[in-house]
Amino acid sequence: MFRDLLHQAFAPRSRQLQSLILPLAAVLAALVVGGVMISLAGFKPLQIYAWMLDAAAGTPQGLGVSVTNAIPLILAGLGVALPFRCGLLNIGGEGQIYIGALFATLVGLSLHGLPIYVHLPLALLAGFIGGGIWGAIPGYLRASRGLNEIIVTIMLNYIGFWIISFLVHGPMKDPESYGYSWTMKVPVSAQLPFIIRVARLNLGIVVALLAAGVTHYLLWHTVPGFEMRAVGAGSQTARFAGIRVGRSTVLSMFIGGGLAGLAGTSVILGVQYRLSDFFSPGYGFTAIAVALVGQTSPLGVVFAGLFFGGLQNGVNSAQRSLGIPMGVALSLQGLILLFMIAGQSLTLIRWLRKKRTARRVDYSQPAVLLD
Amino acid sequence: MPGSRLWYLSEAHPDRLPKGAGMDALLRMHGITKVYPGVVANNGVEFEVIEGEIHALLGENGAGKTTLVNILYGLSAPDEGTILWKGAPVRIHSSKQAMQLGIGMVHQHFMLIPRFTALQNVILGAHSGRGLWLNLGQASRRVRTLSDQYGLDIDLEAEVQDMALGMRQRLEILKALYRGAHLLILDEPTSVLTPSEVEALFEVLRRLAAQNHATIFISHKLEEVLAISDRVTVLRDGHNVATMPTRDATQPQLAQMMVGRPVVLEVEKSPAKPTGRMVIEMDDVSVKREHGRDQLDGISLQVEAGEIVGIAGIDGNGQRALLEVLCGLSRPSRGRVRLLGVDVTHASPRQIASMNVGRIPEDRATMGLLLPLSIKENLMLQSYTQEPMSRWGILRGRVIRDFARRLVAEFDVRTPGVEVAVENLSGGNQQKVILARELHHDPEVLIVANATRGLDVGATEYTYKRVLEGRDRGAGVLLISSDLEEVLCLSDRIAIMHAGRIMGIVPAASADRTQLGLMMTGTALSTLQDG
Repeated sequence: MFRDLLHQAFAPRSRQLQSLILPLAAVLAALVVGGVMISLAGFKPLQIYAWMLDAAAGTPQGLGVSVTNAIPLILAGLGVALPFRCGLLNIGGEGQIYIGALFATLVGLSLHGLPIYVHLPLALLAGFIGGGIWGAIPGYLRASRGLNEIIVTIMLNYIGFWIISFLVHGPMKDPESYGYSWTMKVPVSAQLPFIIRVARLNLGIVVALLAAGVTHYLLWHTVPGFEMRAVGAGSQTARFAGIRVGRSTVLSMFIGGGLAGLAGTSVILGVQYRLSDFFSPGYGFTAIAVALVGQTSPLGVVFAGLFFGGLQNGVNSAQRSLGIPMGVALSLQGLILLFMIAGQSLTLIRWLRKKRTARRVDYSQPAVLLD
Repeated sequence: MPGSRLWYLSEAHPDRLPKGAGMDALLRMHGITKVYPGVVANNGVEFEVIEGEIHALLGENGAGKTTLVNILYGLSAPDEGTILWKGAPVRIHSSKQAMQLGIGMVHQHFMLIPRFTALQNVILGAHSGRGLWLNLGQASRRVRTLSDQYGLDIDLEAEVQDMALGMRQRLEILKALYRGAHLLILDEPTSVLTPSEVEALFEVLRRLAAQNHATIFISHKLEEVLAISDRVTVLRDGHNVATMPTRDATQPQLAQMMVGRPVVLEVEKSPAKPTGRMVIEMDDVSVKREHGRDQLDGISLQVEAGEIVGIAGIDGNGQRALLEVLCGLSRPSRGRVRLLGVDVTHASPRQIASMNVGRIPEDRATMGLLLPLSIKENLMLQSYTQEPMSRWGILRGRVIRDFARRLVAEFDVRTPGVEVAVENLSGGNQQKVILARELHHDPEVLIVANATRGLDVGATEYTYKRVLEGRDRGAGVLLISSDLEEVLCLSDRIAIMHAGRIMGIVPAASADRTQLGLMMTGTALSTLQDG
């Protein structure tokens, strides 16, 4: 049931128009309902929204924060979108983020005296591999033992989180941290440098955009990517045609996990510089929303990531300055998701079809409907 | 065209009087027009049904049959036209309303809950009793009476998941009758049935007609339409072609009306020229039964280059297991399999796929095609790993596009472009995509399984032509089909399967239908010859 629902909600839309209208309509509907909630809480919704927009995109500094927020969301969103194309639901972004961040931190802390153009790529690669391993485990269990990847990824979230928690409270704890449970700061040679200083925007956004481009290229222009999409489109047909379904499953989960690992890495190396527990405010879960709103297309994920990054920034600012409850932010995200899923439900689509003028020519209608 | 009627329908249908249009019609649909974006599905269609008749609605896939009955059943709204039910104009907005009027529909895909018993499925949603409580006793008595009255022969206590498809279908009919259906719509009802189940269904339909129920029988199978219906309405491209009493109709005439041109139903085929080179050799191959799967029990079979060996048999007697073994999808527990002289007993699907083998699987949607992906991607599915389609793991878009465009033209796939998802194509065009992919490289072995299931006359004819061309070029063809007509008209030799064994192998030229029928139900050829 749950699986079908998610699959239906994520199903890639073939028509560009529909794929654009649906998220926009969902966002609009969420803003309207969210507005009602805001006014019930005793605030003026339009004023709040105007404030949020200004805070998120009105100044270079604000825009910088929004984009910085978006970096891990885009990367982890890609980490959900890519396995989905292979027919897998990666709910394990959060665990992969933590393990990726751990690997990156280890490489960051253990190597000294390297130039940035060696040290930083090594740390990023380590982050990718760490998350990749954490993603490949459920992929392997799915391929070899048939275990449901949703359950396994959820469980691995807990394991990943508590491993990091143990390490930063114990073996990896910075001896000079006093009460804080975090590691030492990674050296500058492993930090993502600012590329636009006035906006405090770091190189991570380039990594995220590059990752989106590579994911797109991988899926649509390479043999392994085609095999993943073939498995996602029909695993029996794929097997019949000689595609090694298990290999595609593990590979897509490895890369998906790796992208989520990069998300965690980008936060540590670009913003916080030290690993701590609770460094991720649930990026791995918001990533599911990002992938959904982005229709599991890499380009869509970039836009959705930027939107959610801006939303978080706007809500934070509105909360600090105007005192609206934090719950509103979460409600808005939740409402957007709800409307996305509702929007893709069959009933609504049927209703729209009935309303649509019948004589317009549109090949999006499957011809099989006519038989 | 004598001889091409299905053997199991040879019994002449009762010569009931087709009642003419002069009588008051139970249903009259007038000037029905339905436009889907890009296609006019129904264009001023006239259709009527009178009490107690079996009215066949005949047409190729996409001719507008389903659109018409969907409008009748309230599943879609017509753009123009009127519906008269028992003389009064009605607008049907929902299937619930259709049921209230007394219109019932049995869909191609059954709408039953597998874990419920037959009885539970029948009364589900049809309220009987008071408030929250079901009056099971009363409901069950009514269901039983109905079932007996029409000879439906259903075990009401059995769970649906344990039922054969034929019984599930009769259960769907019972469901509709229980809800008060006076007019029954059957959408391609025989497509999933075995010959004996078809006969049982026809018996039920005759009983229904005798008790004044009307039936709309949708089909593209001419033999069945001729065998069961009183009148027939032919649709083509959303237009009426004709409505006539069935006894005035002949098979070639109906086929021509459906397709719009004369159709050669008898396949013209030259004698086989087997070369003596074995392309498929199976030696004592067995596959163990695993949760409900087919089994094979000591199959030995050879196919030579240049001949077609047909596998006849009722569905579920090991054909699927045979296909899976030949494609590397399951490993035999005993015996050896050789393709083109290479031992593939333990080969992976990939190894077999990389050989010069063409495979047309029985289920287009789950084995043949990747429905959400484009025509281009489906066409490259067997060759994308090789040069020039890809190099160093990178797909070469232009080469692939040109390749796809060439195949689409060569195999006449009707589509606006190669980037269109195959799920948007009609069944016949989907089949052409598979044929193009599997035949364009002139394979030496061709494995064809129920390739024409669900295809219309035109597409079937096309498929036969292509398969025969393959043989004449020197390919060895293994043709697995549960359609005996198909096996008879294409094969050079026929092997009959029952319960995972081969009951006998006979030359197609001397095949006798009665004998084949006996073997299909489990009598060995040796026994027949002794007798």
